[in-house]
Amino acid sequence: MRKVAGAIQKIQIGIGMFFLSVFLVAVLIQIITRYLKIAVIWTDDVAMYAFAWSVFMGGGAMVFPKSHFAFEFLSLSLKGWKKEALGIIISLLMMVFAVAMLVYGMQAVRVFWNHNWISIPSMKMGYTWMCVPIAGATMTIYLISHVVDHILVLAGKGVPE
Amino acid sequence: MTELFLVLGFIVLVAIGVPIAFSLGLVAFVGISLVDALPVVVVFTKMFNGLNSFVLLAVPLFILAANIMNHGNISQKLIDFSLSLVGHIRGGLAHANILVSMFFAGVSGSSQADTAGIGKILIPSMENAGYDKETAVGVTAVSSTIGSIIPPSIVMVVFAGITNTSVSALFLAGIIPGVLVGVAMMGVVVYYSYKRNFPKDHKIDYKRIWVLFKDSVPALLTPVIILGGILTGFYTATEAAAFACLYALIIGLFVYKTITWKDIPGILKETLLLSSLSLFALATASALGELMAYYGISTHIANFFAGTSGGRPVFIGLVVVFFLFVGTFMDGIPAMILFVPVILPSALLLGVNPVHLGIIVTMTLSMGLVTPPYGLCLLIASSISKLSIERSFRGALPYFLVAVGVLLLVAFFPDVIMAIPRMIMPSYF
Repeated sequence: MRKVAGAIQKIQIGIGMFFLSVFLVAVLIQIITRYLKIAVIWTDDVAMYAFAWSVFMGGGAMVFPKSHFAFEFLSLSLKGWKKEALGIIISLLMMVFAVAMLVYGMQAVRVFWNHNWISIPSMKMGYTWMCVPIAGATMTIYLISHVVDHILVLAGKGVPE
Repeated sequence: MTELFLVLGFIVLVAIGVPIAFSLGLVAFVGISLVDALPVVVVFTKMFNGLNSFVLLAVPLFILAANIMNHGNISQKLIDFSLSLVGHIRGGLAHANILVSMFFAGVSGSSQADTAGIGKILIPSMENAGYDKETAVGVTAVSSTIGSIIPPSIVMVVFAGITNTSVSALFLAGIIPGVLVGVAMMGVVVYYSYKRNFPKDHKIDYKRIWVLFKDSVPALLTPVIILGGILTGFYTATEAAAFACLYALIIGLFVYKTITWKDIPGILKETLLLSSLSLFALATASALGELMAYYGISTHIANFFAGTSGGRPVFIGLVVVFFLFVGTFMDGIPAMILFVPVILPSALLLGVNPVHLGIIVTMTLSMGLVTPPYGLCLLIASSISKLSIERSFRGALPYFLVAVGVLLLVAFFPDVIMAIPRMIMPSYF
């Protein structure tokens, strides 16, 4: 499970890096074309939607290494099964949000699917919104992997973190 | 009753260790689920739309520029130049640490990038030179906060976006307080240098200083390029951030030749992961903002600020205390998204200039970067030195207190900071 989750995270980071590069290039094109007096109207939209994708991909990927900032005083003060049980509770609570992000994110994709970008009419808004359910789905996978890890430790078959 | 339940829910979630970003999102999700008038999908559309602002693009771009500079050993060049200027004074390394933070602030706009980039070089150097760990960590962590105050500043760009204030005016207003924090910290270093007999280095001859200065010029020019471009209307703040990335890349690849194309994926990955932490929290905070608006919590807070007797000074005092408190457990960007729109109307009513308010909020939230538990700069510096948070904060405390002193000076005597923007942009005021 951990290996699968790790592989997904690598792909997700790659996608995030791609979109980060896209919006950097789009902003630079915006500056250059403005001073060359070339009318380019798509740079704003491309930059903003690529930015949203990069944040959702990066935010999702950071769930796997548990890098989102949290107060760990309680976790650090516990040992043994209590620490693992708390880990499971935290992962399950986060999973509630991640699953909701997947389900309602899909709903948003359906709602916006047939809307088109103003600057590039051939682009569907649905593609833009897909970063929300994708982030929800990947977060859910990472959190399931965390829960499995905690259960393995409780069963004496895993190594505590 | 529901509001109380949601506040308690948030406290419990944070206390048991659910990440802040998810705690904000969960409370928004549960709260909006309980409201028939709002469809649940609003939580996630608000998250997405919270990011749908061109000005926010500056956040990862300024972090990217700083990361390129760090990878390109530009921090090392700035450190060498700073040491050549102040290294011969007693406590020279501590002075250089502060001075280089002031230089780096003009390059990066991110306090965390400053702590990581400069701290990993200067904290071990200070410890090897005989400084106690507390001083090495404390000076590094507190001086890094200058990164958010001296332009360019990510926090100011976000504040400008929320309040429709001029980024240029905010950047110009940040120069004096940033320099004042640095100078005040140097005063503390002078005091401890004699009390604890901090070491000093040999004086460097002027020819060597000139060589080091020439070597640092491309990096030192960054704030001039960024500020100059924005002030002359050549580009917006976000475009300036993108231009800073390009500039950093060019000098790293072709002038200093300290980075190669192979380093770029690593730099992009580091930037993506670091910036996403704040921005994902910002997205969930935007969803919570919707819930707060529905329950009128924003109005209650606004009424509280507007209803305080004592006028402007009391209001400013409350803003400082409030944001110092918020900054201890929340990142600056989501904190601003949630609370700046709430206090802005009262500030305007009381005649507080938005530029002045922006500097107060920026400085106060930057102080939050060294106050536990959510003191990111303190956490980074303490992890470099492998020093406990308690001892790290003890080391940071004297420097933190003088920085708070400067904050109070700026808060209650706005003319101190408004002089430069009024002089350069008279038409804005």
